[in-house]
Amino acid sequence: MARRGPALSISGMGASVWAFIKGGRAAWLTVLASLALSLIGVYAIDVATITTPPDPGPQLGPVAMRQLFYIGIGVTAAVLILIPHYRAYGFASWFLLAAAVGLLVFLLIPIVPSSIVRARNGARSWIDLGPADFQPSELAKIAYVFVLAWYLRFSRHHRTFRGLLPPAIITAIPVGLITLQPDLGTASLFVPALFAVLVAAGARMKHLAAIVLIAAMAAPAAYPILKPHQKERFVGLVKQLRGDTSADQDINMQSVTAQRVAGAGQWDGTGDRQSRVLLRYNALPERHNDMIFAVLCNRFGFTGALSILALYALWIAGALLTAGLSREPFGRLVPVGLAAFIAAQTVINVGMNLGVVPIIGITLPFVSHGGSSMIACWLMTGVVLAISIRQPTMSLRRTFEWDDER
Amino acid sequence: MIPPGYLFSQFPRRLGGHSAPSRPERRVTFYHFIAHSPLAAAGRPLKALFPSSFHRRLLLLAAGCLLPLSGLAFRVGTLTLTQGDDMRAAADAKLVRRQWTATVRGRILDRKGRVLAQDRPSYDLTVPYSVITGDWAIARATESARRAAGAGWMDLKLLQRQDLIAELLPVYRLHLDNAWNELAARANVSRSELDARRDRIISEVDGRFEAAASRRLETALDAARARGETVTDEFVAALRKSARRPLAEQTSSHVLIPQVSDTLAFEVQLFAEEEVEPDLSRLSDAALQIFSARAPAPVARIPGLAVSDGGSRTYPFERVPVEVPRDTLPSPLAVDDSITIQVDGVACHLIGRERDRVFGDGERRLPDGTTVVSSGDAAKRAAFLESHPSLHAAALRGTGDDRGGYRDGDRVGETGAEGSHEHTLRGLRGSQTRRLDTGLVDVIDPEPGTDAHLTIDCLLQARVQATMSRELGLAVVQPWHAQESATQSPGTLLNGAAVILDIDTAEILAMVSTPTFTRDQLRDNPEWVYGDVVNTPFLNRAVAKPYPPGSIVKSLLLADAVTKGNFNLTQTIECSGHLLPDQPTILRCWIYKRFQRTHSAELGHDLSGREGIMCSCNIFFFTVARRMGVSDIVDTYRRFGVGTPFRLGVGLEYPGALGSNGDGSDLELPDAIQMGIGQGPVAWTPLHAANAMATLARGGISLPPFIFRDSRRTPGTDLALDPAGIDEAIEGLRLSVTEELGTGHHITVDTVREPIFNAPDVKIWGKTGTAEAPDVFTDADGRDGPQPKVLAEEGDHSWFVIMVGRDRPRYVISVVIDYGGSGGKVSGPICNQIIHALIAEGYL
Repeated sequence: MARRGPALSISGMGASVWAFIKGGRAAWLTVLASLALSLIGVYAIDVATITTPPDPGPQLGPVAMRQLFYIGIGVTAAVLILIPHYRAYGFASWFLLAAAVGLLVFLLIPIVPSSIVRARNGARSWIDLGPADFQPSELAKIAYVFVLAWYLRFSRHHRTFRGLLPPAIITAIPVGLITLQPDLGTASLFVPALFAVLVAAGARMKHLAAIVLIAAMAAPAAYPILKPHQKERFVGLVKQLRGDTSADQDINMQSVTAQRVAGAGQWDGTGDRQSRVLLRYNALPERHNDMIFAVLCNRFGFTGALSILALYALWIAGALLTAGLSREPFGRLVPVGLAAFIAAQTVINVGMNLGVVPIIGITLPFVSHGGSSMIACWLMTGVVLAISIRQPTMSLRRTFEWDDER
Repeated sequence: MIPPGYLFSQFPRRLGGHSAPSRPERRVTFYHFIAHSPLAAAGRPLKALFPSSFHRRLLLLAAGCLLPLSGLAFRVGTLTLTQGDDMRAAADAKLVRRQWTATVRGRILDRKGRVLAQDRPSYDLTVPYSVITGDWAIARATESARRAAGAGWMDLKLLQRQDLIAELLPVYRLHLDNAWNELAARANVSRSELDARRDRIISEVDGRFEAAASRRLETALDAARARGETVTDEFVAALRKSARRPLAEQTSSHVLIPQVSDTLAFEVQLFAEEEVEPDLSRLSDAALQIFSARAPAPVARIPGLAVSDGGSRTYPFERVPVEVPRDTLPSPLAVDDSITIQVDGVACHLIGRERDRVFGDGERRLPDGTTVVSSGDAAKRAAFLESHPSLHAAALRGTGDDRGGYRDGDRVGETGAEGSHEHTLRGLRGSQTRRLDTGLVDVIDPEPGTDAHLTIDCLLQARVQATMSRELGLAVVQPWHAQESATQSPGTLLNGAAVILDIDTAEILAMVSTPTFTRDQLRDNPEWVYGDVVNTPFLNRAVAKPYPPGSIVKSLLLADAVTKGNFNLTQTIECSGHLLPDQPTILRCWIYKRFQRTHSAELGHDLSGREGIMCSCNIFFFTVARRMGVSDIVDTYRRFGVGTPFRLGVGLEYPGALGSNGDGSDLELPDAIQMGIGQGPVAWTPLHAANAMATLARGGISLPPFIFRDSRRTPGTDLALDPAGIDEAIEGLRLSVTEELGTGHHITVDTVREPIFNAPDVKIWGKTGTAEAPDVFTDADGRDGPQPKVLAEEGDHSWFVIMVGRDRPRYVISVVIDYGGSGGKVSGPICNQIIHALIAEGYL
């Protein structure tokens, strides 16, 4: 705790700052990773959108500038979220989730005019706020993690099989609403988060394994329910993995182009000018958002791609370390859930770019162009930092330490 | 594994259970199995390191995140490192647009530089089918409507969308209308004519589409029924829908303005490619408002117009009118005035032709119905380039791709010179490679094909073909032919071949095979060319048909027999009419067979070598052959070229054969005796005959004949024939033509003898041949059908091979007439006319 001295003394403030820095501990890894990824993202977006940078000297194109603006808002939001004690979010978690669910329901109401809810690519996921669009499902993710963590924080019930039901129901509501938009990609991120939080909270591995097994066996039955274009994507992926190039000109075009562009990066990437040109004439669709990883691969090659993946690993490590160092149950679970979201989104998006996952509309956190996504990701970073700096000095009780696992 | 002691401890001690140390009561759970498994043993140090189970679970989660990330890192490695080079090349390829520019195919020329085949370049203007029908306007209107509606497009109902499209449609219809007007004006056709052409194309394509769709439906229904599927109405509806998928012609371009000059073609193309904003003047206000927010996308002035190579190959000397004086014909045909004969298909076998489809590898159906498995044109070109490295390098220079390679729509030379010189005639395309990022254009000029020079004189060839035409009458069964065959009634047109060979240089001056055919005939009626198994027009008789040599071979045998010592020039041989004294019906001399006389009686003495040739005495040569024996005779034939193909490069050749397996290894003495008079198991072609005679004339130097000026020539071989033997043989040939007793001296017309040869101031050496030929049958319904086969041709082939020159032998003329009968009577007058042709063309 800070020394009690004159309220606004320099040394007092210095001490507060020092305490702040020390308190961050592992969460600074997360912050560092977020910053690095964000700035790399700005550059990548510029490479993707501007073919011939104006002379003289480097300037950013409009899309990249817009991304910088989003980063600014995101960082601001992250700073703001540090102000209250994170426990407040726990207390408010149900309300936050209710608000998010309300917005999700609002998206789905058919009578809402298209001036407010614009369907983009066939999905009603965005609320038109004039200069920008806002995607409620992003905030739903954070609210969901809060609720889950708050629910499970003193629970023992989840150690039984039946005790897994309430978390499942909590998950089902936002997932169902998001799936109805339809945004199968975002909805599918909730499941890894649920599992991660349950694992961290001490649910029995055998229960979770059983659930995974049942889901795996039931998955083929879900295939007929998929919409035709989703089935097409799946079929396309199977063809591609088999080496069948027949679909390369239609369904698999985006994936094949992404792989070609990514592979063209070779060891350390093509140069700045060459990369812009290659991206333009290879006509990679969505290259400033969904396919941004292919852009990075092309520009920075294998070494660059590995570094990006390492940065994500760093983010996740920072969050998990924060969870590990946290002595209080809510603070132990929230970073896990957030890390799971980031990890799942990264893995799926990178997999899409590299042709091992069918193309579903998922963006790469911190790097892809998009305001809602950027703000949500920085909020997550902010929450992790908040949890880290406000740890109690000693734990109130042993949390999530189960006797039978000793 | 359950701890052993546990089980025992459950038994009450009074029943003999061990007294086990007391343990806390615990239910056996699944956990025990895990806890005592090797997995748990490995985990114990982990537990020591991380006593908190929560931390261990966090580690598990970390591993769970790390695993897929590592997998992805591995995948990145695969794409960038393993496949990186290919990917980079593929990505770079997108930066480059290449266009090929056409080249001109090389010409085929005769020895005097006359053009026998050349490309006549011309260009066609093509337009895509959707533009021709006007569907293009609907497509563009739809696209514009989408752009204009922007994000609201998805919300519009179908009717609203259609209304929007309908508002914008007039713009694009007007644009198309203007485009047609412009095209018509520039191409100098009337608008109505252009519209008529469009309608023709549309009705033709529609017709084809309907036919194809119904055909597809029928096939699919048949296949379904064959598979045993039930055919419901929905099934049929679904099949019909799939059968009505678009035809290739509906998505490709069609020729609207054919055969324009290159300047006009490219001027129109430049004009057409220019993009302009569509004319909005006729739009309604509502529609104008739609466009006010976003201007419509620019469109090309004439959408989709392209210039395609419509060039064609012309063959200026395919049909030649030949004026033939008839005063030197045999008296029944001789008249004072000349006749102009239109000779068709001159040198058709030699020049060859093109087809307009590129063949891939695999099975092909020939026009005569048989299928053949062969490699495709691309494979053949690859093989050619491999064996010609300098040409290969030239073809690849500049672009790295074979600039002479085959693309869709290319014409491919098939037979004759077009086929054998395909890869040098083709030339190399030019290319224009435009880099999209820099806009730089790299231009490589096309290289026209290399001309092919034939040693043929095509006017001489036409004259020779004229001598064998029906109009002149020499190749038609005449009364004075004394034709005895049942199948060759008077007036029947006779087929045959004629070769003129230059003795000194071994160049082929003319090579005629009748019947011939024109390319039009081949295109319109391939059945006639390939399906006629009796007349076989497609066959080049001069090099590809086996003939029994007959008496032609006698002079060669004499020279070689003298060389080998089987016959001494001081000797004579008696013609007794039949070789075997006690068998008067076999191995007879022809004079005995016909007239029951002998040559010894005719001459009053036994025959010397030259006399044997002069009279063409069979007994003489049976005797010589018997003396030579199988191996010597086989060697004689071989050395004079039987069994060796000439590889002229004008298509399939028959190399000649000895015996049933081609090399004479299975022959016996009776065969050898027959081969002494050129019958029995031996066959050759008219070119072999000419070549052998030329070898003799050169004093035994064998030079391979050639028909392309640039043929790779091997040096001659000296057969080391005895000069005295050669002289005797040549003298025999001279006597055969100049002496009354010679078989090549005269023909008899109504008991009056007239000399065969009447050209002034030329010396002639020659040998006739009347060779027994195998019968030809036709079977109308095939071998297995009930109808019997019918005898189509039988009799003897008529041979005459002469050497002619002012003072020494300069040219060999080798003529054979299929089933013509007597050598002197039928082929003789033809040879005479060929001599006149040589004089007319300045060779003599």
